[in-house]
Amino acid sequence: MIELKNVTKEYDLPPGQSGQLVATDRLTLDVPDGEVFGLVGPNGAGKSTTLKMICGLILPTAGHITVNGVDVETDPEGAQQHIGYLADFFSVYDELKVWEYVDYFAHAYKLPPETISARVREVIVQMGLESKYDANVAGLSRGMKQRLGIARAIIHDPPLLVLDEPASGLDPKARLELKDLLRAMNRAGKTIFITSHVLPDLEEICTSLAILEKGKLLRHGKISDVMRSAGQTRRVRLRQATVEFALGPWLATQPNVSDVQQNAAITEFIFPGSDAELAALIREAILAGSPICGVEEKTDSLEELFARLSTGEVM
Amino acid sequence: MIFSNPELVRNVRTQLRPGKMVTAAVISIALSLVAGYALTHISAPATGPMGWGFGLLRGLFWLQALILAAGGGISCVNAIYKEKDQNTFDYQRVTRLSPLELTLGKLFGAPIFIYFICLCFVPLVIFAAVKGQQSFTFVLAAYAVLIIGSIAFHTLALLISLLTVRGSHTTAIIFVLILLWLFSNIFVLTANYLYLAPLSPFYSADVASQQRSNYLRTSLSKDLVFGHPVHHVFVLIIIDGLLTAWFLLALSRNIKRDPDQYELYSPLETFALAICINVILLAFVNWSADLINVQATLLTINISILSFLGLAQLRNRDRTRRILRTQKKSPISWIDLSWPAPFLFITALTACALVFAAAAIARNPLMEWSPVFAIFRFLFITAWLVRDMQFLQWMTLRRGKRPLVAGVMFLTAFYACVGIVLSAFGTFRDVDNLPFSAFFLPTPIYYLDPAAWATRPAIWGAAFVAQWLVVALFILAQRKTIIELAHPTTPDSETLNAD
Repeated sequence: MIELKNVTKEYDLPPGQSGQLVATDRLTLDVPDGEVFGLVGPNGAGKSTTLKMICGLILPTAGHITVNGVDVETDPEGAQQHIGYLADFFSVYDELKVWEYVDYFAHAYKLPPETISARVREVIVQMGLESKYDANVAGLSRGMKQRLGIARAIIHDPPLLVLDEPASGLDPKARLELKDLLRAMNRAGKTIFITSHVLPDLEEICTSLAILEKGKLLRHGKISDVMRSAGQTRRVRLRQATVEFALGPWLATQPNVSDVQQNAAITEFIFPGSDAELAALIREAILAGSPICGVEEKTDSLEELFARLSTGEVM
Repeated sequence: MIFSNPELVRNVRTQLRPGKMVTAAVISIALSLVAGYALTHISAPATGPMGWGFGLLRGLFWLQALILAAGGGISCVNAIYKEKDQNTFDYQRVTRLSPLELTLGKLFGAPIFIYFICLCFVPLVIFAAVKGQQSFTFVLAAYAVLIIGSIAFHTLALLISLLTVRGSHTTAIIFVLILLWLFSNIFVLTANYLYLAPLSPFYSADVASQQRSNYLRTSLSKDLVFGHPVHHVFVLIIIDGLLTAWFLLALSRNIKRDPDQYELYSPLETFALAICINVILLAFVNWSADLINVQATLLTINISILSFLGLAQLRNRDRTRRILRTQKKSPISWIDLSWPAPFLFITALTACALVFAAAAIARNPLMEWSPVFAIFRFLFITAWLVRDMQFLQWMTLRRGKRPLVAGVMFLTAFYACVGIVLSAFGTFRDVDNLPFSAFFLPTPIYYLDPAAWATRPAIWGAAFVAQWLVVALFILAQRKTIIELAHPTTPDSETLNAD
């Protein structure tokens, strides 16, 4: 659906600083149809710049971008008809009514005139704004305005949604609703390209992701592949029924075991071995006298993975 | 169809809510009734050139021109700037509206409330026309002038809105109002040398308040196009229409572009525009007037036009970087290294050649005219223009917040300081010293004739050569920046916030 080839975008550094700012540095990325693709990175990583280049709003310094096979630079309008875009700020026309706002974009996207009225109503209902159909946009809550923004982005039924921090500023309930909405749209066949600072949310809805820092792609691919390629290690947590047996010191003497931490009945350690080797280790511990009554495996969350990969920029 | 343009419809929905319309209509009708009542009770007759019917008609058209041009102009300046400011412009840019559709929607949509206010005055206009026994053809012609003149001005205001950057909104509005003043007076200032009546919407007041018998006799009613009398209303409609078309071209070329890559016109279009304006000017020149002054007027107008077009051709860092990276030429071409000097040189020279050719053909043969000095003057002006534009290009390529603005400020300060110093030494008063000032200022070139040349030919020549040396100096200065921009940044280069 989206193809970026050696996309570079350079800006000037602010006055007084020498050198150039590389928002994206020879970025090459392929987002297949039907994916929910998350772009993760700290502030200043080049996420919004990448999204704007995909939408044809800014031109790359070098490189090529195609959306659904259409070159964004040579045929921006052709590419834009395949894209529904939502920026990272709430901006709507406060003077219009909800239906007028959606109707404006329906006409601007040149939907067949005879279908516009029905489509406007359909999208407003889909976004759960039917009770506000005739209300002024100015009176909507932030969450509702965000829904209205998504209504605008999907009015022309584009196969690709490009969303920049769509959950930003939303309360937990609105965020939950947004996630459901995005899942539903993905099920309906839409490819979603999304950036967010809320990594747990991304982890829940994304099928693939890319990690961007200082304009460079650190990792990209299916979430599980990214986790694996990042050298994710197995962290095991054992719970004992009683604390008489010193499980921590015992584990520290075992091969393949590292970073042992014991806190009363709970002992955690890193074990890179296979499942069978872990089973053997637990059997040994029980035979040695440990009253193990619970085993839990902890995997890195996206947040932890990002914290490890990132070089310390603020999220 | 313009009436189904989504951007126009959005503006109608936003600005013409029933409550707002009723308020505007009530105020306008109340004003009309008060004015009508007051005028019917004064002693002058309603008919005739001095009667209140004509007076009211003139006043109404003047008022409508003010409301439509100034009010509509300000609405147009706000149109794109505000969309950018409230972050809604990008959403319009990604729709399937073509650039021209979006431009036209804004052009007619942004001042829609102002049009409505003018519409509220129409009943009073009809009343005044009936009372003043004015022909409705004149009223219609006045409205044509009013609307076409206003549309031309609105298009220019919309173009300014597109180019307005954050923080300079008030400056843009003041600039538009100054332009309106210039637009209304420029042809009054040049009335002795051009057979062309004013082109502004305010001319509608003259059309509406003239009696048929008088109007056709007045000098205001007719222009001389290549020596042939043509009704000014037609001339105004054609010239304002042409200006609108050129402004629309710039708008539709850029409205959906990346703002860092704005290019008002392509070099070829810029060249065509310069020639088009010169042909229009030459069509109206009064060749029977003093030839030196005619040439000076044409030179001054050309300097203004070429300065504007030169500014439009300057390349910022981002554009230069992209041009150099995408063309993949190695080594960098000499045109890129010396831009915009070659382009400006050719355009200025062609414009000057047109003026020269017209002067050679149409001038009064009894008047003294030296073709060699005419050519030298044109070349000198070209050199001076290229020098300043090359300086501004060098400044534009420098790193800074608003390098072009800084460049213009430096240039203004330079001319002000040099002007004061040279005046203090009396350089402008003394014919012997005049050529020395030509090193720094363009004004002495206006006085360059065989007599002035004879005083110090070597200094005049040196001043001319010095202009080109300075051009070469600025080209050399920008060369380093261009080479730096042409090469990709290394992976280890500095990076900062980009989102």
